[in-house]
Amino acid sequence: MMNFSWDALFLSLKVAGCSVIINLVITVPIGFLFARKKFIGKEFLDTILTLPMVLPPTVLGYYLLVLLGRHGWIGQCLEKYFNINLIFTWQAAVVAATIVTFPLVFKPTRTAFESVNVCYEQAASVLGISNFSIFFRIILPLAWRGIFAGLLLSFARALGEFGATLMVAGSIPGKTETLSIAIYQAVQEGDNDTASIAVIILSIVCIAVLVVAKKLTGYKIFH
Amino acid sequence: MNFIWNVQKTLLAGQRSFQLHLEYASSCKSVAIFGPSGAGKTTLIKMIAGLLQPDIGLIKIGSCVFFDKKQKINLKPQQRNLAYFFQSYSLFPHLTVQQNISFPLKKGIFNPTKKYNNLEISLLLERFELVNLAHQYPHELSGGQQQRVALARALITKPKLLLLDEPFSMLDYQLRKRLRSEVKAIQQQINCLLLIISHDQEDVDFFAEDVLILENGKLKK
Repeated sequence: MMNFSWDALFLSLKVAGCSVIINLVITVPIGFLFARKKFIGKEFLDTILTLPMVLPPTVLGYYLLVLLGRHGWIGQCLEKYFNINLIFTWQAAVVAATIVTFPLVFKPTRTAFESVNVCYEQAASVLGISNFSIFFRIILPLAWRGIFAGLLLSFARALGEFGATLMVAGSIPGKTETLSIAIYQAVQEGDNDTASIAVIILSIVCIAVLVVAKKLTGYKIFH
Repeated sequence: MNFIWNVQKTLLAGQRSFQLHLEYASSCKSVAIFGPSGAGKTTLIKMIAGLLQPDIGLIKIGSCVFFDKKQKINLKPQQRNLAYFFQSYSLFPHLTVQQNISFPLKKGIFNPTKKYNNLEISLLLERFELVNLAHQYPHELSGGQQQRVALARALITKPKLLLLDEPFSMLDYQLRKRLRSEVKAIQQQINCLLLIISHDQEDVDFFAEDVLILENGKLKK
């Protein structure tokens, strides 16, 4: 019997969308800092920030459980001061997706900022434009394609996030069961029709995202 | 005195170190800098523009102290009220010719729109023969055309000091001759000081009241 739930798709889109927005807000300043400033331990920190790309998601999920759980360092603080318990909520799925996909945005963002030639900033500063304005008028317009491509990739990856999400958010239908988890559950229950539809929908969304990302990164007129 | 500087700077490139020590004072309005490549001409101009900081010394242009190590004065490039024509042009690749030229006229976080225009912009487009290219992007232009856009962009700010780094190198003989006169006319009109780097003796003869010859980071005179 087919038991496909659109809730799982909407939850997946919501989680992936939130993680993309958070990653955008975090990676633009961090990527710019790494591209333009020199500081001690920069490359070491870069390695640490890239770790989620190579670590198995279950390992990340375990770290997150240890940190965010009732007895975890962050979990305790959240519960004590804000009365928030993240584990087994959809917000925990957002945290998991954000951390797993962070390097996918951070790396291209850093590269995009590095590829903007400093001579444009110098020219604009001599022309009397403030550094703050230069960022919005010169640097961001020249770097946004790289940043946007990274965000799209991270969106596709977040849609497919499974391991870390399952560990910190569980699989509560209608609450924390994302589409990729729902596929796993459907297969476990022998409901191949539901699994097939979910697989096709997820595949189409991911292919569409990759096509757009490729189109954007291939457009290199400015470099 | 219009130009006063006494600066020292050590630049490191890998194993090599380059020492620059220049002392100069002049009441001329236009000065040319001459010398082989690697002599420190662009380094000097970048220090005057505020894009490089001297290790020690003083830079005073007109009545304005740009840099004084002893008094801890170091004006930002934005505060120096000068225009700098870069050897590499540095035209903004995402903006059209007209937007590039009007770029300094607009403050705040938004670039001028493609339609942004005024009398000043039209006049410069005409003077530098750019009217037909106004809506093209820099990568669609030839070297000589890009050079003219960069010149127009430098002049629109009506600076107190004009720094030109090889401004006519990509132009053919006729155009070079014509644009020299245009630049000189604008210089006289806005009454600004001029510092020009050029390998072309004709540029030097046409503009300069005084010539500085640089070699190995030192003044040869």
